Amino acid sequence: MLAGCTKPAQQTAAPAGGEGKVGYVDIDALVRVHPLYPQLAQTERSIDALNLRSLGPGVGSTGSSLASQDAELQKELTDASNRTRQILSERQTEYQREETAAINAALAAGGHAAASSSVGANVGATTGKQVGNVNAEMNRDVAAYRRTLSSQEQQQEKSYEHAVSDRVNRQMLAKANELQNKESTLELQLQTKDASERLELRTRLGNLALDQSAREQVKAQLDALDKSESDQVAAMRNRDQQTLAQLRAQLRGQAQSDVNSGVAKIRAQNGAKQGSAGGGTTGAAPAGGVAATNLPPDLKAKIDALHKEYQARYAHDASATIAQFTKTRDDLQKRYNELHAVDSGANSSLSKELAALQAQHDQLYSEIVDQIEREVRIVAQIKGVTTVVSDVIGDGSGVDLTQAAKKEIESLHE
Amino acid sequence: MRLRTSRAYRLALAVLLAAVTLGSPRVLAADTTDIGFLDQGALANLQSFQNANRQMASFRANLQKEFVNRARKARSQQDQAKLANDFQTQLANEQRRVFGPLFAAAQTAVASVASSKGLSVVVDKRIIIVGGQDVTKNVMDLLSSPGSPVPPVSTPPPSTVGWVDQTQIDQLDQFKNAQQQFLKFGQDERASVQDKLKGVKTDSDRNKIYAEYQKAIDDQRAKIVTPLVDQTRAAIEQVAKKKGLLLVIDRSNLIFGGTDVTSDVLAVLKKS
Repeated sequence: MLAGCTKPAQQTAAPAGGEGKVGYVDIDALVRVHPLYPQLAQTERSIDALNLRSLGPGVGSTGSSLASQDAELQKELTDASNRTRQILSERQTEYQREETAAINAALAAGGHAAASSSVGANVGATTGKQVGNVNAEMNRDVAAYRRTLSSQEQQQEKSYEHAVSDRVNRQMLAKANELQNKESTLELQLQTKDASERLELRTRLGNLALDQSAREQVKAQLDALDKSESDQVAAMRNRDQQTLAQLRAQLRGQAQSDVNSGVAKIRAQNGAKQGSAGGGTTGAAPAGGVAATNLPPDLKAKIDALHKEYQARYAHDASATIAQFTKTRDDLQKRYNELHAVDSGANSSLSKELAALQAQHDQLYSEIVDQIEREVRIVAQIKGVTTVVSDVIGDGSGVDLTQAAKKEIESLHE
Repeated sequence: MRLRTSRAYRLALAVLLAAVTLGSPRVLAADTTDIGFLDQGALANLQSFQNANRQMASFRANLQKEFVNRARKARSQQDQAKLANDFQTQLANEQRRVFGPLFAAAQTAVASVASSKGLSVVVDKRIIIVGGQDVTKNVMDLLSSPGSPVPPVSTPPPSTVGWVDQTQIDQLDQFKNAQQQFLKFGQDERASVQDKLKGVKTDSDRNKIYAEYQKAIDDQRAKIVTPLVDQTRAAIEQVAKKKGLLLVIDRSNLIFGGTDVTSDVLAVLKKS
């Protein structure tokens, strides 16, 4: 009964054969003309952009877990440095004491009084110089570490600013999408609510026997229905625009404050690291001292030999201690680098963002398809098509309802 | 669209169930009642399918652990690729072993229900917007009842709904070449984007690079892929008209019956 009683726009697809009972539509083509398609396409572009972004360089950040692991590594380095200094200092005292005792014994054997203060000072000066060298080397390490921290601090600040800016953009986008979804939902609800009334009015309009005044009356009712729906949606859109404007202002202020406090925090953290890394040198023994110049040449030679022996033993011992420290430092540096490499990967919230966008996309797509299917059902009913199939890959003699449905969906824009 | 590609398990079932297609088609007049549809998602809720899914998940988890351990020891990328291949093969074999009998029972049940209802074709519920006969409950009842479903004695009646196995079309030289060309273009473009992103400091520059990439991909798709899609559609339409079919669907959406026109479409495409 309804077949042939349609609006001109719906008469484009005539049954191509058979009984005209089986029809089909190209859902993709219909999705592309749906009023919400721009929003869907935008989501798809965002997903593509995020996918591409995941190829780009990672953005580092400073999570609390990272900071605590970082501090732990720093403590280990400082501890190793202090331990090394202490060992070297103990060795210095021990060798100094042994050397002094040996020299005193040599002096006593040669009939000379022990001149511990002058000889001891000489020994102390030599070993002190060695300790000074060791400390200087460790201090260079600490200085290099400080330079690394300083460079990292700059990068961290940039990353932090970037992260805050990204967060604000995401919040804005999320809010905008949330509001748009609500608008779409309202739109869909209104259209669903009025679907039967609209179908009835359209059917009456399609009745050729209807006189002009009755036709105008029905058309007015249809227009009023459309206007009522669009007014409600427009009112909601206006409210949403205001909400977005307020949120934008609020987020900007908050972002600036966050950036300021974040940068200050990074500087404070790194300052603390530099402080903990910057352990002072153990006081090197004063250089110089009084040389034992009035001794017989053979005794002087013996003392020199003793001194060289203890010097060599200390140097050997100290180099082993320093090698141990260097190994510890290198291991810590490696762990530090690994920690930051892992962080830049793990910190990336891209995958979460992608999943959220994908879910949003799927929901929107589903809403669009639901509405399209409702429109297709109406068109099929009007055209007397009892079975409609989508996802057709080749046209046959069935009724192609795509154009008719397209016109219906395009009319939703109005 | 993205959503339509995310239902692999349904398609896998559809592909397996489609193997039941029998007989050479003779095209008769269309009858709206001879198109049935099945909700494969509901079928997956049957106890037997759920048990099989659990079994498969456990197998996959164990295999995954083994793969990770062995991949760590792999010396080269080739070794890793070989391992991945072995992993996939084992997984597929197990899937066949676990699901094979269930799919066979399901396809027999669908054929039996279709035969008793005089249906010439059963398709996935997802592609039916209006009408058609829902056979989901009948098939589920049959599968849940004691004993194995009994195959129908007769072949399905001729159908005016045609189907094409597009994976076979993808194997044609011109399609394979186009696919590889497009794939390579995409890889090159992504590598280029990666390089460009290294020196980028602002979001605006970054977005510009993304937009350029998207445009390049779209242009290339329009140049390489779209003409082949159009060519295929035209070939299918030509065959459908010649055979008096109402419409043609992809094999992945077919569950039972229908008229296979894949070889006819391949012949047209080879000539063009």
